[in-house]
Amino acid sequence: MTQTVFIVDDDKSIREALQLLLEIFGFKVKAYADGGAFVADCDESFAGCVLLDMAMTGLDGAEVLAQLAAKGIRLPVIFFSGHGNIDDAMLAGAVAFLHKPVNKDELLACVNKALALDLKRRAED
Amino acid sequence: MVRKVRNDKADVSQSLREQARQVPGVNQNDVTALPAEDLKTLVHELDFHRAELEIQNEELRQAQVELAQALDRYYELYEFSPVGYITLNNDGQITAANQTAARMLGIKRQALVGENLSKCIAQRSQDVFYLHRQAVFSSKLKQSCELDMLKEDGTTLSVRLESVAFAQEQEQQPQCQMILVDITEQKTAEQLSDQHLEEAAHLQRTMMVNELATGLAHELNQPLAAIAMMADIGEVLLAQSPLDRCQLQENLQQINKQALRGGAIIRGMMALVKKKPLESVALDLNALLSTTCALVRSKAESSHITISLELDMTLPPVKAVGVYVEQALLNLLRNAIDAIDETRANSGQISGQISIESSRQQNMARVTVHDSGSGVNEQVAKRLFESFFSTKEQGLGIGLTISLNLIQSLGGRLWAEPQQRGGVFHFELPLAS
Repeated sequence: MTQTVFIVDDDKSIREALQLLLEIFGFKVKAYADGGAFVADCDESFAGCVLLDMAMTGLDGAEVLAQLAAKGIRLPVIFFSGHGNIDDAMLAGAVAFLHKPVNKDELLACVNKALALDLKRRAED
Repeated sequence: MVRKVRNDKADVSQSLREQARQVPGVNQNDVTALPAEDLKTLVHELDFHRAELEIQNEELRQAQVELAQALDRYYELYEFSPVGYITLNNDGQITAANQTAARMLGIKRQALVGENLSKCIAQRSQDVFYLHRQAVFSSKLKQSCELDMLKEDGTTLSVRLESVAFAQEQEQQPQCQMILVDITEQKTAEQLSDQHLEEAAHLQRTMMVNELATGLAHELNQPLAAIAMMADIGEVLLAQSPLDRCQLQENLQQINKQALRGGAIIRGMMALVKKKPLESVALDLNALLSTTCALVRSKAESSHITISLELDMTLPPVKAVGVYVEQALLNLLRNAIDAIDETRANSGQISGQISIESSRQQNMARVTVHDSGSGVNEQVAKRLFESFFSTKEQGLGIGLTISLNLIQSLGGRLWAEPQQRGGVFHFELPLAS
C-alpha cells in the first residue's frame, strides 16, 4: 500500500512549496486548502500521515484533529505552525510539532517517523 | 430637668402671690358690702378663673418641658453631628466649635475656641483658605472649597469646607458659619484611582504593541516559511543532472514573490500603525499641564516627590493636539521621577522636587520641566533623543523619541538642557492666533 503525505494548509504558497519539496524527495503528496474538505474526504483507506496547519480560517488544526478522531481515523498527525505555543492537550493527539519556517532535515525526519508509525499501526490492526 | 419644674411649683406660686400683692388696686375692693346673691356669682366666677388659670399653668409647664427637651436634642445634634461646625468672626477667630470639629482636628474644644482658624490650615492650602474667606464675607452666599488641615499631632487631613456669612443683627459684625467634612478617605481613593488610570493606560499601550508584534510575526512567518522551503527545493534542483533550468527559474520567481509579499505585509502594518494625524485645535496649555500633572501626582507623592506648577496665567492658547502634549509631558514627568529615584538611591537624599513652568517666548509657548535628579551631561544630552538609547537600567529608550516626534508633529521643538544640578527639559508649541 502506498503511503501519502496529506498537507492541510490554507496558505497557497506554503501548500505549493511544501508539496514540491516533499515530491522532490520522493513522497507522494496530496494537498488540501481547508480542514473541512480533508475531514470529509478522509476514510479508512487513507494511509500515510497528515501535515496539519494550526491556524486556519474555517476549521483550525485542533478541530480537524478532533473530527478525525471522531471518525475513528488514526493517521499520524504533524502540527505545523508559526505560533510558538502549543499546549499539551493539543500535542496529545499529534506525533510532532513543527515551527514555520521549518528546517528541511527536521521536516523529512518527522515525516519519515510519522510514516513508520502509520505502517506499524496498520501491521498491529 | 422635667422633675425640677414640678418641684418648683410651690415656690413659684408663693412668689407669684407676693408679686400680686404689690399690684395697685388688689385687695382694695370691699366685698362685704355686696348682696349675698352677687357674692355667690362672684365666687362662682372666681372658681372658673382659678380652674382656667390652672389649665393654663399646666400647659405652660408642659411647653417648658418640651422646650427643655428640644434644647437637649439640638445640643446633641450640634455637638455630635457627623460634620464639624465652626463659627468664625470677621477676623478669622473661632468663636464656637462643636465636638466633632475639635475631634477632627485632634484638639480640645477649649483650646480651639479663640484660636485663629488659619493656624489649623496646612501651608499648601493657605491661599485657598484666604480666598474662601474673602468670598464668604463678600458674597453672603454659600461658598465651598477643599483644603488640607493640620491636626494637633502634625498630620494632615483633607476637608471640604462649606461656609456662609450671617449677621444676627444689622449693626453686629458678620460671622461665618462653617461645616467641615472629612474627605481624606475620598481623596486617597481618588489618588489611587488616578494612579490606576495612568497605569492602565500604560498597560493598554504595551498590550497594543504586543498584539501588533504577534500579528506581524504570524503574517511574516508564512512567506518566510515558503521562502525557506523554496530555497531547499532550489538546492535539491541544483544537485540534479541534467539541470532543470525551467523549474529552477520558477523556483527563484516564487522566492522573489514571497519576499515581496513579506514587504507588502510590513507596509500594510506600518499604514495601520501610522494613524491619521489628529487635528490641532486651540488649547489652554496651563489647564492641560494641570490635568496631566494630576495624573502623576500620586505616583510622585508615593516617592516623596513634590510637583509644583509655575504657570504664566497670561499665556494665550496654543495650537496643538491635547493627547500628544499630554503624552509628551507624561514621558518627561515619568523620566523626572525615575531620575530623582535613581539619584536618591545613590546619594541617600530623601525628598525630591519637580517643577513645571509655562512661559511665553514670542509666538511660542514654552514648558520647562525641572527635576532635582542628577541631570544630564552634554554627551548624553546629544544622544537622549535617539531611539533605543537609555540611561535607565530597565529603559527601552523610546519615551523621549516618541515625545520628540509628537512635539515636532505639532510644529514645536523639544530639547534637553545639559546642567550640573538637576535635569531640565523644554518644549515649545506654536500659539493659536
